[in-house]
Amino acid sequence: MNTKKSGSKSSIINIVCLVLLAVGIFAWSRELAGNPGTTNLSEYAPWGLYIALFLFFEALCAGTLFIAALGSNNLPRLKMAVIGTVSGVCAGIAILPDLGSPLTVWRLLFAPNTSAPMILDVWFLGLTVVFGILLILGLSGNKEGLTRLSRIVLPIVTILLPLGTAWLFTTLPGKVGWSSSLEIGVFIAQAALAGLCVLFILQGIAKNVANITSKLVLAFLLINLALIIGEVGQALYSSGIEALPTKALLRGGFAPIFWCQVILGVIIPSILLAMNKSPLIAGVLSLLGVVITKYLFVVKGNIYPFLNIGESLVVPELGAGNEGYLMAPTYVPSGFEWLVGIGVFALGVLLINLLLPRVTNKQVGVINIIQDINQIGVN
Amino acid sequence: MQITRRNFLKGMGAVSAAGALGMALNFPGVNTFASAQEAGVTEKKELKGFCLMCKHSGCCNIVTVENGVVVNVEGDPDYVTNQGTLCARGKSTIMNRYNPYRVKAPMKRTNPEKGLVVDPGWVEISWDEALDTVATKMREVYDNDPREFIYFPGFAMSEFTMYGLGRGNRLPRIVGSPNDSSTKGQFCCIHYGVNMILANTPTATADYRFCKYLLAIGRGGGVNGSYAQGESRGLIYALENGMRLVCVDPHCSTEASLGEWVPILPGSDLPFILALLHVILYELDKYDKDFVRDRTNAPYLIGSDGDYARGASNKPQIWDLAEHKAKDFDDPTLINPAMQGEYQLKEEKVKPAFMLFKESLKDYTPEWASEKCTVPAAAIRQIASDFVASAQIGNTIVVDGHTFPYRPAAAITSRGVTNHLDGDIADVSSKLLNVLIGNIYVPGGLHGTKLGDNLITDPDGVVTPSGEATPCTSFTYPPEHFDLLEFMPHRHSSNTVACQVMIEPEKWNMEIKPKVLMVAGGNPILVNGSPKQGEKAVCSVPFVVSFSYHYDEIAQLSDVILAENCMLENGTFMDYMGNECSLTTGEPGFPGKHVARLYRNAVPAIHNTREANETIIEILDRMGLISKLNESINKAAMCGPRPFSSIPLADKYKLDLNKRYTYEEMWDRTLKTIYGEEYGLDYMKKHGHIRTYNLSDKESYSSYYNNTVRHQLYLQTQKRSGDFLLPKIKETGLDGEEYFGMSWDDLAKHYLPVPEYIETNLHNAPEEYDLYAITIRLHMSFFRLGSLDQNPWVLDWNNRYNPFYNSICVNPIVAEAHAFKEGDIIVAESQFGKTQGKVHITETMHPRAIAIPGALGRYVKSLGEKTSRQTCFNALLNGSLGYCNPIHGGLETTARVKVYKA
Amino acid sequence: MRYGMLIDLSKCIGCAACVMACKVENGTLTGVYWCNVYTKEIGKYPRVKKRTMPSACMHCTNAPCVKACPTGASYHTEEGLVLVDYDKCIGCRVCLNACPYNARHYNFTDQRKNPYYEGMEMTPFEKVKNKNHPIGKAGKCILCKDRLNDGKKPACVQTCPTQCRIFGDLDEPNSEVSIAIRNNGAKPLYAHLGTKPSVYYIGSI
Ligand code: SF4
Ligand code: SF4
Ligand code: SF4
Repeated sequence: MNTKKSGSKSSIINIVCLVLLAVGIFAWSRELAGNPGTTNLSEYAPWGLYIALFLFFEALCAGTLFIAALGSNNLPRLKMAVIGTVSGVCAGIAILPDLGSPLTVWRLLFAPNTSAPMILDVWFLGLTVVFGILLILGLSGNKEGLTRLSRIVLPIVTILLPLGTAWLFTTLPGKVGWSSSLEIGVFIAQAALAGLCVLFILQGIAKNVANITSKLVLAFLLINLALIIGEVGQALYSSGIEALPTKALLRGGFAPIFWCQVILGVIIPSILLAMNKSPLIAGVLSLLGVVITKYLFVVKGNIYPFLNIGESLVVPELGAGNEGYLMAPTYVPSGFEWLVGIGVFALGVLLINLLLPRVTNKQVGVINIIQDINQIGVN
Repeated sequence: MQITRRNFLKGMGAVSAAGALGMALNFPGVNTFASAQEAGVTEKKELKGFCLMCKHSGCCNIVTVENGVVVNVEGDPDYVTNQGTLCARGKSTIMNRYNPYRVKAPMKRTNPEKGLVVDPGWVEISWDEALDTVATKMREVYDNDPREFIYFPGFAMSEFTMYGLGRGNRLPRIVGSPNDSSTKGQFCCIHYGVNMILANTPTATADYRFCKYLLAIGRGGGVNGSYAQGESRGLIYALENGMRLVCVDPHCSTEASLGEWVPILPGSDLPFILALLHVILYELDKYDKDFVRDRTNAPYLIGSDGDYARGASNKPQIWDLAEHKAKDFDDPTLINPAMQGEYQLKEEKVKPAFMLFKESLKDYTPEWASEKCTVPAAAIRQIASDFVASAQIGNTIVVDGHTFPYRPAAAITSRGVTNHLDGDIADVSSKLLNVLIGNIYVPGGLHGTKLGDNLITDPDGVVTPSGEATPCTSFTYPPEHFDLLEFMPHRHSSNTVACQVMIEPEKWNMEIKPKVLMVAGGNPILVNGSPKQGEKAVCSVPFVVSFSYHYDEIAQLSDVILAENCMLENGTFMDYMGNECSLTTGEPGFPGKHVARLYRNAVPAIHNTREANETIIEILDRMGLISKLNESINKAAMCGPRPFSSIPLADKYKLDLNKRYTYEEMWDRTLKTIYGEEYGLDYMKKHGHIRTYNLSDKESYSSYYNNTVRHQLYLQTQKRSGDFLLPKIKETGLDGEEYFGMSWDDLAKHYLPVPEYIETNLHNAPEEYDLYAITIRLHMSFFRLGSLDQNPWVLDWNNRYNPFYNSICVNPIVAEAHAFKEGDIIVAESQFGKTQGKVHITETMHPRAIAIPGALGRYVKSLGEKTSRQTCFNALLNGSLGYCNPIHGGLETTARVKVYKA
Repeated sequence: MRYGMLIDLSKCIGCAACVMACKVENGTLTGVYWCNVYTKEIGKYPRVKKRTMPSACMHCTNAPCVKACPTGASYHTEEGLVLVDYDKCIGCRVCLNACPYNARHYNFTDQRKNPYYEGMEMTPFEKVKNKNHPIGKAGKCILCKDRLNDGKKPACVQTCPTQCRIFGDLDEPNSEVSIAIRNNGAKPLYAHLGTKPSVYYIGSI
């Protein structure tokens, strides 16, 4: 491997990331300036892409760090610790553009309302990132003490992290799309799947996929599928208003995304894994599945903003209803939101690219991972 | 607040720049508003005033001004009508002050070419120049032939001249012209029936305190207009008190939803009402027989000429069955008046009027009507029987110690009934429904807006019709009224006819041509059934001046614009005549207390605009006519002791003929004349209103004063009018079809003494126009009042939350037939025009009708791009003769249409 | 003391005077309606009815918006009002999601860029009122707290042409509003959610 060449490629990636990050920051500044139309968020879709990204990075962070903390040394623990920790940072960063007054964000840490579930997120995410860093330091500097400490704390906080977020959503009264307890399971399963995918991809790159990893990924894909089927089945058999959001996913404006999630994100990777083919593609698709799942979860809560009084309600701004209940229009992120979202991703890639070569001794950056994927693809 | 010239120039510069850009009046970046803040001073003032964002206008308000900025408008809790409440329109008026499309200074056009899409090339001029120009032009006409001065007042937000300098015609009369035509008239012809049968004006009202069954045909009872001055409250009170509300309407309105909805095909009220009369007379044979015998002209004997057979005394005769002979109607020996039969009077065979009335209704069975109006025959029978049963015929009630007959049922109609080619007949017939149950002017029954002692008994013992129903007694030809008053002596104001005639007055052999047109608070283009006709008419006048608040259609076609204050900036008076939907609200004492003279303390104007009455005085001054104005005021002051009345100024308040007075001084003297020294301008400034009169509850019912006068069941005055007029018209030799849109024989059918069904142009439309289009009232959009179609709050909220706003409403059956989905853009096309808009699919529509709600749509872009693109109902109508009711001049406001996807 | 309101749906005519009154009083941003009225169409032709549903913040005693607010920006006053302290609000919009009544709003846009009159500058009215609506903060019905201090009723209550809203102290059993609630068996919206609203309705919702 030509280190120089990959080094220059790496810096190209860094530059691209920096550019994307700058574009993202610019887009964010437009949003902050209150320019009309910069976001497609509204009072009927107060949360969107940013929260979905937060949930994705959170799942990625929790799952990856859980494995990194508990895994045995024959696993790429350090790489996972870096990726997991950076994901945690990205989760935090993804929230920032969602805040109308980001300058007051310090209040979350220093003047919180401790009875708000969102504060759990702040604490758990903070702890996760801190211990993620400790783990990185421990593993890269061979500081056993730090590694051991993290090994004890991280498994706990990485489980609490998605739980806290799940509680935040499920305890909101009257949000029929979010209130099912099933969602708590989904949060955990998604985190596990995301972590396993990272492991799987790293092993794939190193061309030493452990059989058990592949099986575990498949298992969690199937668990996810089971959860989706469970939710859909419950919705189809129920006639109550609680079932409407899920039904709307099957048929409404979000349906193409829903089916994309099921087919691309779950079924195809499952088949690939079962047939032992293109493991990296399967891994990437599964991760994509997690992203889409999070997006659909976020929007699901606001499809029926009016609850029961939405029956036979007519609000031209919102368009038509389904089964007599008024629905909110399909939320699709605006161009600016995409730019900001991409900026967050770019930041993640940049951080990983900068960190990995420094903490591991060899030149392993994202560039190598991509090169490896290409090679596998060619093979 | 200091008004600096800079601000106007800024505003002005924007206007001409926009003009250059093809009238897309957009001025971003320009300081559109005069600077609001006075450096350093914080000042908060509360001003008492009244609201005029709707025609009913009986609400007093309090305006809060902070540093020159209007920050609040709310109802005045001290006034008995609105009790501190205001409707959405009254609340939203703040935005009118800050409307960027306002005319901010007097303007003159520089482009001699006129047209709705032609840039006028506005140039700001001084008030001096503007007023001189106008006065010079008007003086020229005055010196030549004053009849060539035409005055178009309107209903619009600042309907100043109606309540100000003499009910719309003081100015033209001073100038010496008979030609004034209220632009809104063709949509407001609701007076003829109530003028004739109740001798009241402007409308017939219900009595929510006592009514138990209200049959509302093509009319709202206050809630659909969300009037704050007591009518909405009153209707709700009545419903809570068990009143049944039956709404006969092609659309299930808010009121129909509160009550019972009877869907009806638009424009078929006449057969429906005729069938009700038929059922009552032929099937139920239950009506207030005592009232019909003693309090109507039903027993009067009618000769072969259709008029009252008269005795030696020249009085109408009644056949006394007791003595088998005819007697004077007021003969005290009269015992048993004949209502049926045929009798010999001198050489003549005569019949009681009742017979003729009843016979005329013989064929109008519910089955016959049902085919035409789609209301099931059984429903018609049910309504007739409920109506009569609820009337509690024979019952009495004591109010304030006075015993009245108690008739807690009423049938009310309004524009939905009157605005058809047969609307005059349908409306009058609906009044006869009420006469039959004897509910006229008694608790629970039918009343007129004017309270108290109103009824004048004529020598025939019958109530003298008022206003527009006054029988015609003169005819001049060639006509000198552009609105053909000569041919339509009962017209309200047929502005679209006026426009049609103005284009080619020679066609009607008129000797005069329009020379100067002044428009004030009206819009002859927008409310013309045919906008092109309105445009052409206005452009045919060599000099047009308009009082304009904003750059609307008429401003666009003017030579000079006299910039007008917005409502809040207009310090002015109003003679509030009383609630038009219901006499009572349920609150004891309400009816006698709510009628008042109102005053508005003005908020200082932010632009170089003026109050219009002052401007008119100034013009008259420059014309050298101040003495004529003062003379007119001396003779007939601004108002009299009752609404719609006038008295001479008391001697000590008389105006010096050669001195110029302000509008406020004229009112000051008027009020002092009526109420005494301490009730002048100062009192009004402080209190905002003064009660017109103080009637007790019993005194507010007119029958308290006059319970002997007879009402018309047999429409003798109408017939009399026709008998005079029709031969005169025929003598002109004009062809009815060509000059009047209908044959003279068809016209004669409108002058019959008994109701008769007629087929109209509406029913004869080509078959492809399979649907009937109507407009419906929206709380925040009707009558084109208050510039509500530009008001950003109104627009924004309605677009977001009101599915009926700016839409075309169709029943799901129509939607399915055309594969429309909610929100699709569709076209509604009539024989005369088309409009497009988003479809709202709603079960609240009759399946053969569509509705285009609200008064929306513009023909100019100078009020904003959005406003010009709204769905416009009027575009479907026809404003020419043949589509105007030949009696009251109302436009046929149902259009036959077809719909399709855009 | 707990301020509350009773809305009689059988008297509401959907005129939206209350909506405009709220606009006038609070000068909310373009498109933001703290007080709103929704239209319903119930039934099939010809047995169909239009119904209206006025709605604003219910000033819940057990307010999920207050609970969910991570910084304590949302709070209860002594009179039972639920208010937002703009200084503390970080604009996370969890309260918009927490409120089951859609009573929470958010200042997404800068009023200067989205003024009432499209394409124009802000009216002087907006300029005066705009300071109460900082961008990036959650807003909501404040029960016209300044009017209450002046001894007036909330703007929506005062302006209603059918007087279908009654305002008063729910803790005072003999207040007009308490009596009317009792006599009419009025109920809050979504009582089952346990939010304990201070706004009650007469009539079916
Ligand atoms: S009803 Fe409304 S628009 Fe009419 S006067 Fe009263 S407040 Fe003004
Ligand atoms: S209605 Fe909504 S915003 Fe108001 S207190 Fe209750 S939860 Fe909070
Ligand atoms: S003002 Fe009163 S009647 Fe009108 S919509 Fe509001 S609550 Fe209903």
